[in-house]
Amino acid sequence: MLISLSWLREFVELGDRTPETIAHDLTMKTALIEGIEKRGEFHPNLVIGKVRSKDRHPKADRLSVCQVDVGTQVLEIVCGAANVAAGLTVAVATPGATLKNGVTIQPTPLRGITSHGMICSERELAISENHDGIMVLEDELVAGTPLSAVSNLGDTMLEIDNKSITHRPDLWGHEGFARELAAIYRLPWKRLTESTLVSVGETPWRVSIEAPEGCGRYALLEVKGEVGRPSPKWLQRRLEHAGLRPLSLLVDISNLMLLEIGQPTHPFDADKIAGNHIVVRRSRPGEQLETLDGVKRSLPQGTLLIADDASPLAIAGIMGGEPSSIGPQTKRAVIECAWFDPVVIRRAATALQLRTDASARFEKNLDPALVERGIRRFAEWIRTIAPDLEVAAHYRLVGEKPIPTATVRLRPTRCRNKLGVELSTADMRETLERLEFGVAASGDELQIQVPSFRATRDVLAEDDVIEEIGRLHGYEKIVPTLPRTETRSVELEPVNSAARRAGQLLRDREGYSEVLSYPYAEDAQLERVGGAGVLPYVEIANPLQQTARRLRRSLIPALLGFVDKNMHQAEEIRLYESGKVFLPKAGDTDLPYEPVHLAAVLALRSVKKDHSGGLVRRIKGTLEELGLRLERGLSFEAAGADRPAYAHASRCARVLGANGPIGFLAEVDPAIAAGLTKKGEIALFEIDLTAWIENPRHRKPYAPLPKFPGIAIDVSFVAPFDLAYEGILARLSGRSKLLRSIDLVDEYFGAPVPAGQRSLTLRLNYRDDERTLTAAEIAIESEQAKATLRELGVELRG
Amino acid sequence: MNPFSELESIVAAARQRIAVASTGDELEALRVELFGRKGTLSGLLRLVGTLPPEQRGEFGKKANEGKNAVEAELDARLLALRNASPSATCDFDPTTPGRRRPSGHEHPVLAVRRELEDVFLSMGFRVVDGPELETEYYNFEALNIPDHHPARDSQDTFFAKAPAGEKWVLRTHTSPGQVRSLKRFGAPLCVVVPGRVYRNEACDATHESAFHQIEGLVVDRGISVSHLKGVMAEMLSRVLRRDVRVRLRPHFFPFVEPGFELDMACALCDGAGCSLCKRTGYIEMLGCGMVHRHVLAAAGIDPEEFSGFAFGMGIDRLTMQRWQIEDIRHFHGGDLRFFEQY
Repeated sequence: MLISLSWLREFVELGDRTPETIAHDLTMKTALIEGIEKRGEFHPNLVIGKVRSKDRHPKADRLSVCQVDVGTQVLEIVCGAANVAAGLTVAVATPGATLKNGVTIQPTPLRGITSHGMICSERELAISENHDGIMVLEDELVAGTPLSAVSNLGDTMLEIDNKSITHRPDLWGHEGFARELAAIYRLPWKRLTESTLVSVGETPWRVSIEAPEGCGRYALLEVKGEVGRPSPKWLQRRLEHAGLRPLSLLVDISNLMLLEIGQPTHPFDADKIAGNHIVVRRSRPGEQLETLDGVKRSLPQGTLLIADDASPLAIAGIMGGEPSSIGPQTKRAVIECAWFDPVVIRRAATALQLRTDASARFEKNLDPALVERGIRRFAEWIRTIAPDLEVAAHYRLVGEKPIPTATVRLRPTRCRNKLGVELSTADMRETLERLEFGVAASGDELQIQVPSFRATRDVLAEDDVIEEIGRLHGYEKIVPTLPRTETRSVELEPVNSAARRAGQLLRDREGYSEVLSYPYAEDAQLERVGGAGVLPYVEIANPLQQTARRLRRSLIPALLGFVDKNMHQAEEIRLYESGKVFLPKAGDTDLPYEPVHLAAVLALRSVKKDHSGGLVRRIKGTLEELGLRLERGLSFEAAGADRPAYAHASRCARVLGANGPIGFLAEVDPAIAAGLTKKGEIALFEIDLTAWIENPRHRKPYAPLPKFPGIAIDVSFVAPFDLAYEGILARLSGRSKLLRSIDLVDEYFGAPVPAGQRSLTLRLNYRDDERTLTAAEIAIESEQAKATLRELGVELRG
Repeated sequence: MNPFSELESIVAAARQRIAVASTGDELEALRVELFGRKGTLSGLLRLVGTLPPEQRGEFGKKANEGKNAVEAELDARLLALRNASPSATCDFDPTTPGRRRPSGHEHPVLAVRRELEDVFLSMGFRVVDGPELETEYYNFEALNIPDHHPARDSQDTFFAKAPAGEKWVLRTHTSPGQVRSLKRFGAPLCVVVPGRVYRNEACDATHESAFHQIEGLVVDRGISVSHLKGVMAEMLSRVLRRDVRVRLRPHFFPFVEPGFELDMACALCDGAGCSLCKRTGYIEMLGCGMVHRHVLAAAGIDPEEFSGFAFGMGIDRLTMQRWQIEDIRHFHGGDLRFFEQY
């Protein structure tokens, strides 16, 4: 919203305070001023001129030569504008005048005739961007008058951030800001005069409110005469500066009042209303109305309407209808001023996708007292600027909406404690009175009477009053201090801490990059991994896209999406994400289980055939490192038939923590992987970090360093994959006291090893704590190990 | 020959050859000749057993001394030769990049989030978590946001399909953490709730439907606006690693009273006004205020006994400011060329 400083100065004597000072003070105490816009800057040599005559330039068709009276003299000026004409009152830059663009006007020959000045457009005067010809001013202005003395020809506008006044219905007009400034600067302010019209007495107009929940008060005033003529130029300029388009007298007054007291009003052409009867009702199915913006709108059923006996006239509180609008021929009008329910108006504006200056104000919950004030102020404006119009002696007022009041108890001690500032009770009292709150002392407390324009929603309780005192006192004067705190131990949630450690390992040691995906899973990605159909998902009722409405149960679909996105630009991709998944239980009314999952994916663009199956082993190693880092137990078992749908038939494992399954480790099924990488492989894991981290800590105990050296021997053999490595280890270890550990040196599969088998090389580490082992002992151990292996049915090599 | 004199002559000969050797290869050959399995010195050492017992000790000692001396000279000469004669052909360019094992990259928003968590931990705040799928009660009602409030519009909020009788939303802010934390820990309390939040908003360069916030709450006896200013200035100073001045402007949020927007003096001009701060001298950082009594009451805290302040800060925008990132969509884009810069 744009607020005019020259208008504010009509309310309050702001003296020599600069726009910047005023903007700053309002920002700090009332509402955010986002900018200052200057409209026109007038050098003293810019004056009013009267075009006495206009002749065609003898050497240029498009130029004319004008004799312009500028008070002290008549200047010959060459003008290029098409709209210049004898008799017009215009703005003239006389020699010596400097324009906003820095140009200083001097007598200049133009095609042989010296021009002694320039007739200006609005753009040349920096009033607006309008450059369609010269600016034409009202005839009442006297030649030679400096432009700076012409009422609101120029102005300075403060741009208010509307979001900062959503809770302040009183600030949606200049009057409210005048009241604030008066309070901020401890100045008096000039109240608006109102006509003394009353609502009692006969009028030919009837108003029926059939939807009282939407319309609390409704006033109607009849005006006769030339209501469709243009309004005075100064009024038009006032609207234009604020960004509104002047139309005709009554419409312009209505808009002026919108900017002045913040109360929307609406003039109807009274002759277009059937039966002198206004009905406020909800719309019926199928009703339509062409609104003032020329759009024919179907009205959602239940929209609050202003109607006559026959048809809708206006969408209440949002926009008038074209058929009943004021036109140049209108001779009789009725003016509406009403209180509409903020929620009803907001819902209608949302449903219609039509937000207007009026609806913005009604949504804020305006003071119902403005209904009668508005009508009276409207009558006052007509009396002032169009006294020839005939205003009815009475207006019709319907509706019971009470004028709000609030009485609030203020404890000065609480105020001081809450603000953290030493303020006397007298200071508080004085501040509140400046804001037009009523204040009465009662013992140690103050009884605060909230004025109706602040009592619709804004100031209802003690803390609201404390805010008024705080902001007027000045938040910048409150000294920052740190609260006295007791020492206590603070920490991250365990799962957060675990995710951090896991992330460090994955990034710094394993080279995985962290990504972030949306929790609304895309259908196409869910379909790619398969198996989505059988599981329950939480669904978003109003998703951005219908194809992304299910809340993820797994991080894998999105991670594979990222693989797809990057495959063309990287040979190897390593990604991980930790984030929440949503696991609803059918029939459960509690919020779904929301564990943090950790998933990583490793993808290679091309894998040589004899290297196939390497990726899943690599990522398994990464997961094993993770178990060591997080000090949580970890084991793996064949997943079998209930592996995830995206998993390779055999290269897949269920991952177990100390308390049971926590996830899966797998190579992506070649059929799915082929859609992402033709020659490559993709391996991944996903685990429930929340569940895993709740497992007991698991760490190998410290072992004293050995005093005697050990001896290692390597054995190689071919064993089938279904003879589990862990089983082989258990058999070997069970047979020997001296065998301290076994390391995997190599696992090889593929030709010439038969399918379903692999060649294993193990390193057996023997040691005795009491002495050095002899060659003979090792020879025995070695033979025994080989015998054990032969018992297992494996084929020893070498 | 007497083993003693043989030892002496072998050692003397070896020393001479070491002294005149001109290449490392020559020396290595000599080393094998002396100490190899069939080396002359090694062979001599094996003679110890054949000597009369009374000579064994002395011979062993001498042989070891000779061996050690020769080895030391050999090593010294090798080192000298290596230093004296650089490799004839150059095989290293110091400006060629080294062989690296590249690290993975931390998501910039999550990195900033973790940094904020650490700052708050250092200031004595608990860091807690809350559900992303939230009940309307915690997301709105408990925060004094009534049924008809604009914030509840479906163009701002993702509503989830919930079982009969339940109303679920994807949380629109981390503020539900206020009441949840107060219920979980009671007062006094000093807590932050970082996390993801969601708005039903079409994406463009500056708008996202998913982003990160951090909510903070301090509740104790006698907490005032003065404390709010102090803690915020301290927090921002630690995050930005410089002294930060803050100012409060009045602003409305339903769950605080009074409510503020907090601005920080511009890093470039320190309040004087420049292009970075759009000539205002200040940069808007976060929303905050004194916890509304209805919110305290909803958590079962007596608003007469306790007071507190709350604040909420967007992490994505802070991250974008820090790195001058032009488009918020990069954060969920998953393009490695973006992440590899962090």
